[in-house]
Amino acid sequence: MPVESATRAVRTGLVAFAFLAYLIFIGVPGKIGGSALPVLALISALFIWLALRRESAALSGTAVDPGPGAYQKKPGWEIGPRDTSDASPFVDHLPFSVVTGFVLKGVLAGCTTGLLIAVLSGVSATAMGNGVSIQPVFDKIVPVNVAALIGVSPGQIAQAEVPLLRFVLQVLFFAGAGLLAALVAAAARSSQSQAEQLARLTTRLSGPTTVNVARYAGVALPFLLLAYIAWLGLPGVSVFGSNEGTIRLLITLIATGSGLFALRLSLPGRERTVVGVLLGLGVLAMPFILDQFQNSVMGLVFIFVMMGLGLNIVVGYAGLLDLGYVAFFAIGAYTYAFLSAPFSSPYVSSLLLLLGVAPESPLLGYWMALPVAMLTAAAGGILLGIPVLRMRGDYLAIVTLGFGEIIRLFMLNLGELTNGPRGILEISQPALFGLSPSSVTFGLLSSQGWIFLLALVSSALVAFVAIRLNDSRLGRAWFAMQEDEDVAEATGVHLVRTKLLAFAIGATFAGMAGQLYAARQINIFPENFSLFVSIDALALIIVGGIGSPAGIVLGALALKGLPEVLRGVDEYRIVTFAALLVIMMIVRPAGILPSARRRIQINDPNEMGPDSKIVSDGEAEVVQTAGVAKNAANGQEEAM
Amino acid sequence: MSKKLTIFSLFLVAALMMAACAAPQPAAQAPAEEAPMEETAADMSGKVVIASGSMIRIGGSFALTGPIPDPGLNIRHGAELAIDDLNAMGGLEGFMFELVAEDGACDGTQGTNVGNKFAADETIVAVTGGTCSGETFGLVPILLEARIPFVSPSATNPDITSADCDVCNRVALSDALQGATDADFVVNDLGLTKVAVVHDNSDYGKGLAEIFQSGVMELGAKVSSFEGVQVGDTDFRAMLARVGADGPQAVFFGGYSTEAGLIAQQMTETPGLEDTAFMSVDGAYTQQYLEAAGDASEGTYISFVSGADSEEMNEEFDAKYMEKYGVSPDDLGPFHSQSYDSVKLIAAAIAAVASVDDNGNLVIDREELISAIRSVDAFEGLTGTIKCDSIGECGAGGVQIFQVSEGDFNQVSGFGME
Amino acid sequence: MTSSPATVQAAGTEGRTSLRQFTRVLGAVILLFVIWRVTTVGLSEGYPASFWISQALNGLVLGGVYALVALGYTLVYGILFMINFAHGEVMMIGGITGYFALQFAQARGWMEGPWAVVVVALLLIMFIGMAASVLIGVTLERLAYRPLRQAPRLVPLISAIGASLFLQYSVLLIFGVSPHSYRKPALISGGLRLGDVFIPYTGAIIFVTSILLMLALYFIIQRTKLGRAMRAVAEDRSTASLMGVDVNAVIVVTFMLGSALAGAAGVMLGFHNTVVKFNSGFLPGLKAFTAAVLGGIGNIPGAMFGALLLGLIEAIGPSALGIPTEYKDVIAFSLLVLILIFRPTGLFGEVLSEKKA
Repeated sequence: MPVESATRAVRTGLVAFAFLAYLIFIGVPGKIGGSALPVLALISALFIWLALRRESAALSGTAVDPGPGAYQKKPGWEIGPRDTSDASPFVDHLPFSVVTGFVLKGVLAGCTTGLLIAVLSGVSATAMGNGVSIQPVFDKIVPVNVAALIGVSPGQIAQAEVPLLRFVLQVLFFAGAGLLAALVAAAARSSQSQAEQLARLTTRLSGPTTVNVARYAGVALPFLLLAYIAWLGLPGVSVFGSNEGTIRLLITLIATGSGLFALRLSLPGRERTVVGVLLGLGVLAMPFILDQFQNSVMGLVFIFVMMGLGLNIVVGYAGLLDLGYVAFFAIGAYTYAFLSAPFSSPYVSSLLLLLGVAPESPLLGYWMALPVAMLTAAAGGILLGIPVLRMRGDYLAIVTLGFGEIIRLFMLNLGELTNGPRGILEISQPALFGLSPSSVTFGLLSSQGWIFLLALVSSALVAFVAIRLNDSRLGRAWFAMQEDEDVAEATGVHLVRTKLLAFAIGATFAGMAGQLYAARQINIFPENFSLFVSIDALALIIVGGIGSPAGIVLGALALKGLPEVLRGVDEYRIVTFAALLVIMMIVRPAGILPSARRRIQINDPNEMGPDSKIVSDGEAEVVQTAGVAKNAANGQEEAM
Repeated sequence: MSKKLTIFSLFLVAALMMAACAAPQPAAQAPAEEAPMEETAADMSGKVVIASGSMIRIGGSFALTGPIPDPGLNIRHGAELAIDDLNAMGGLEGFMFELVAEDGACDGTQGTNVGNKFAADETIVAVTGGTCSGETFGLVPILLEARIPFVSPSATNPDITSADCDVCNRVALSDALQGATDADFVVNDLGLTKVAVVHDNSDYGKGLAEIFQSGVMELGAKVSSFEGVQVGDTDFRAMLARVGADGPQAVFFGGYSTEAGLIAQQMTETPGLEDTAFMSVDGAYTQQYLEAAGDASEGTYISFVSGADSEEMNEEFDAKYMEKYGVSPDDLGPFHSQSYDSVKLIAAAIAAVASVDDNGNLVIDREELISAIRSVDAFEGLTGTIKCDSIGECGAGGVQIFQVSEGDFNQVSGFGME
Repeated sequence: MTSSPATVQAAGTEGRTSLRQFTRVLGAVILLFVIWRVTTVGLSEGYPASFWISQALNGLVLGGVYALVALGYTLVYGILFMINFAHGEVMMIGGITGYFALQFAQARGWMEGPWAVVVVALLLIMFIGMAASVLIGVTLERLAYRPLRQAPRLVPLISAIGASLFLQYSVLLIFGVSPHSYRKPALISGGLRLGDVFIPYTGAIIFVTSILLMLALYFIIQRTKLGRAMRAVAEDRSTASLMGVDVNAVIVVTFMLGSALAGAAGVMLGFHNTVVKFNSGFLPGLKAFTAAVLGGIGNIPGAMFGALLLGLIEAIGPSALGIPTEYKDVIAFSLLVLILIFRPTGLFGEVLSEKKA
């Protein structure tokens, strides 16, 4: 059915064009510069290759092993046609023409994309050359952008001096990309069966050894990276030019994340203990070797780890969806700010005078303020908890969201109490036995490094408490309540107390995090505590794997650390982040490192509806990717 | 599962104990290895050493996102042109200048982040910015600690410069002047006795509104209401209905373009405010304001803090701007000349204190640079002859008041008219 | 929230009764406070009656917009039990598209033509805005939500948050960060003056159109075959599919209906408030969601009523309580918290959430 294949190829080309057009409209070619055209062509080749690979898989009758993170059988994710069961039977009869068929399809798809791109860039270029300004509408369609797309200088666009040849070249480029994709897909197909056998043989022969090597490599990786970071920090080492700070930050993030995987890869028992202790030492040394900027990012990451662990108690353990978690973070931060910043509101000072205390600043140091901030936040948690005791699910979500907004708006508008939008400035720094940390450590520990160290230690403490709580009677009560409130109550769980404890403990942790955040920021403003902080905290526990502390650390590294690495491509940062969030949810709904309990839940047949195979599919992947670890740990379940 | 958790918690306990006892250990070990670094750091502390062939890096905090992105971009362009001009004139002792632009987003949070980033970068000599007052408040304590002087082209809140902050400077004029001038104009020139004051709950807008309010009251007029809105709101009818119920003769708004334009427009739909005068401040002196207000902008008053323009320098600047960015600077907003001057001022101060050492490196002493900026006297900039005083006020020029007629700003009072 | 009474243990019952008493006392205290505040402060300011009428009208207009958006939340929630967090952005897309359609119409001088031409052009603009919103809504469903239909409830929520950010910042990157200003045609600028009360034409149009659209929606859901299928899917998805209802198609249609209403709201809000930009859907979206919950999420009359109530309270509340207008959002959210304390499933309640929540 050549017509059908052609339609399919054109459709693939259209999808590729739609995506490329998006990139063009947000101004990516202008950002890339001279090599924009080849880059875009390569992207379209990737699209076409994906589509052809799917077809080839359907043709050969057996699915190509998609590997982890594949889009197979995921409705809505595949590119190109969904139902390929009746794909081109004529190809089956003429196996030798497969390659030709692929090439034709690839080139057709590439030509479609190329023609459309040429039309798009041609129209923009002509309009600009004739003085029609598209830019006020499409912000990023500027001469630089279009010029990069066509491969000429911006001046030529403005003078309308683009030779027709350029557009032909564009079409050719994309046709070439399609050809490339087709060849790659065809090559993969023809070698597929042989490669499969070969691979099976290799695995059988060298199975245990390879696995062991991989395991040791995995365990060793964080240590290597840590050593590398330390080396990069030595004086006189300059490797990546002006990007060095960013690269080092990226490696730091990877090292911390891979440390968690290394811990899982190591065999339980002595090996894990040793690896754990060594890693702990390595991570604790980081505040001393990183520079101010890297420390400040890592500090933020671990502050959010604390937030995530606290929110995890409320959402992950107790099953209460809280979208206003930022409120407690804000309460902690503002409590510390009141106690330690020069700004003093008339209310607070008169209250102090009433109590017979002289209102001088700072009232309390960091350590003295810590219990106060925690208690205030816990009180806030109970205060929120009482009215929402009877609510469930999404009602709870929106009420907590409203509560968070109310707190923020009060901070913004109660100028006399909180200094309003002007924020509270010059919050004092935590001291170490009354001394500044840098003087104690002979200048090794910068102020941000000290914050990072504090965040590390506090989050370890919080994680410890959280894990112990989860294993306690209270933890089981939470779990029961999450499963079914009525049944839990019937079996003797005191709902009021259990819920309030969840809110209060979660809030306490957020208060701690908030206090440290205030110390890190030095200045705090009401905008620091917008809804997006709650969303960030929620997203990081879900991306990391709800209910699993290790997952939360990973989530925080990915969601709070990576955006700072991407700061160079600032405008595209949030778009990329948002798209990744959606893709992440589709590809791995259980998170990067799901907790065992969570995985059982996702796999729970009772919670499935009519098209339940999607879930089992996702589940299969989760298990599959954990495969290496599983082999190593003799099939034991990971429980972190 | 619980066994695993126990192991994990054991690890955490171990980590905690390490935290308790291991802290001195790295400290004791490290000096041996890192002593040389310590030494260079000591050598460099207080001085920026720029190796030959490197650039003199000047940080810039601009409000590229947030409520006033266009003026933010405009200010960035101004700074870039100044850098271009400096480099075109051969830089300083063969060292070229580089602008490290960051997005301060017009708010304190982002300002704090940008400040931290600059403070972490030892090669940053000085900073131009931030654009908004809130953003600058975020920068102040961090740059003060890092001993990096900054010159803001557009942060106008009176509290930004003070005797306590020796790194804080600006070439913009303080809001104290603008608020007082506006109050004087409304009460004495327009002869109004009952005004309503609205602000947008930003650092800048609220500060200005408060100054205006006290100015008006000092002059004997009455403030009928003092209301706040949020940046980003679009429906002000409920607030205006309430303001209108008190029957003010004028509404003063402290804030940015879009909100100002919408308030001016929605006033025409509010009983009691149809013919009331509207006045806003330099944050609304933009094309965006005219667009958002539409026909309602006719007859409204906008005050602006202007420099004493020298015609030819400005023409040259405008031409360069047009050539590089394809738009006229005034289309994007005010403060581009201040931004240009801010960078030039920093460069002049750097030139006064920088010296080339034996290795061909450029050495700039931070403390000397901080005092050099304060001692700038009679620097010829786009905004006039700039002279910095002891608290860092380097602004030149004065407050102008414009009235909108036929979709354009026409000056009716203030600086340059007398 | 019923529990099996026979097996409930003493502790639970005790806790629950004391809780109920607590909420009663709390409710009485708050009610008394509000009455005191309104009588002593709000009314003592001596605003004329026309003031209250104008504020109420402002509130109704605001409520009409919230209602259109809230219906989208409620429809989707009723069928999929998911919060479509990106719904506010769907509305914003409608507004942005409407802006460009208006630019196009103005460039051709249609807006200065005879009134019939202007009306047709305006309807066309609204239709284009709605179409864009529908397109985005359906694409969202297909790409971001459908693959997650069986995932735990939080997963689609996060996906929706991601989609919301993606749409906002895509619009920022494509159309720029500065606001786009609608220029009202002469036909609908200005308004009706009744004594001291002024009704802007756009406000009146919003209110009337939103009521009409809501009635149309109600008709579709209650009287048509499609509506019956929707209700069936909302009731029980698997049974509905066994009965021959194409569940996927119904869900797509649900998204289309909700998005079309949001698109209409976006365009009308654009004409009313004259400014759209990348994040102008966020706050109205949040408020509309609040309104949907207020009325009982999944409940269509509830969403309409909740939205109108929220709009009214937001407009009248600050003046009646005698507090600054910047607290209007605080009042809106406090109202939500209060109502949910006393009626945990919203004003009109709903049966659907019970089984999933």
